[in-house]
Amino acid sequence: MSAVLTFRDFQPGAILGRRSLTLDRALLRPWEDLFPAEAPLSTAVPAGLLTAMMLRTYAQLVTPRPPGNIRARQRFELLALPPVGARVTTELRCLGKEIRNGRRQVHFGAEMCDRAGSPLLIERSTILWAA
Amino acid sequence: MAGRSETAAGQIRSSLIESSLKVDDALIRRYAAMTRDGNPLHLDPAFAAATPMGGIIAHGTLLLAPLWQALEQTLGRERLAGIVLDIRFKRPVRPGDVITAGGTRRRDGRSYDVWVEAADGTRVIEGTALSTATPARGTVRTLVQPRKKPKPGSRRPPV
Repeated sequence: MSAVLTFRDFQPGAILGRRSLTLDRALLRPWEDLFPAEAPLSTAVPAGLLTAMMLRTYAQLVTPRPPGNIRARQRFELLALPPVGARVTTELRCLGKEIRNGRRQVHFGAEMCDRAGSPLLIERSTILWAA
Repeated sequence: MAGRSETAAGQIRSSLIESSLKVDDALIRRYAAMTRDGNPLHLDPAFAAATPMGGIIAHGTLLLAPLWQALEQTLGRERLAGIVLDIRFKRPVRPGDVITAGGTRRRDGRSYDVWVEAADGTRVIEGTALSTATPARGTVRTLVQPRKKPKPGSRRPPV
């Protein structure tokens, strides 16, 4: 087995995993430090932070990644902004892969839901895979 | 009182309220820590210099932060739910760059061409933001469906 996930390892349609996290103060504080204009966060979680949390879930589930991957395209469907303190769960899957113009492209799909299972954010992304 | 997305005349804004971000090494490192994305393309100058990027670049999703802010400032948080944001990353952004996110309303009246550009005007992100929320009467609907001229002799009011 390769030391890192390679293009060959991805199975289109496969669920890569799911992760839950609570959008609590410990998680919001770094965001407020990065974007003071949005502080203090007291009601709904900003879309930018939800986007960052999706990246975090991807980084945790799709590992070890080869160095040098590049994000090429992203599509978000924002259905609701959860309140501060909400527990959310994100499921990640591989939607497909292809070689286009000589470059390896892997397509991912993620869906973030609240505790009741209602979708909050649906994402599709294409990453140029380095290995 | 008109919402943030509406002008005094009740039409949705023709452009997004722009939002800017100064990108630097500290911002990239902190974003990497928060997202647990330790791609050396964002963190390791020697590695990044040896790639086609030629040096450190910012995370693509970090560049979306000012775009989300522009949408929220313009539409209001309550109208952000229902947005479909579809974007392509066109150019890398490097430490020291100042980026600005904005957009212009499309002819359909319910979506925007959106962009993030560097200080020199180079587009680093391009795409569309489509509002799927039910439009308020007299705002988006008016723009989507231009008034029809009544036929001569018709008693029906224009739609």
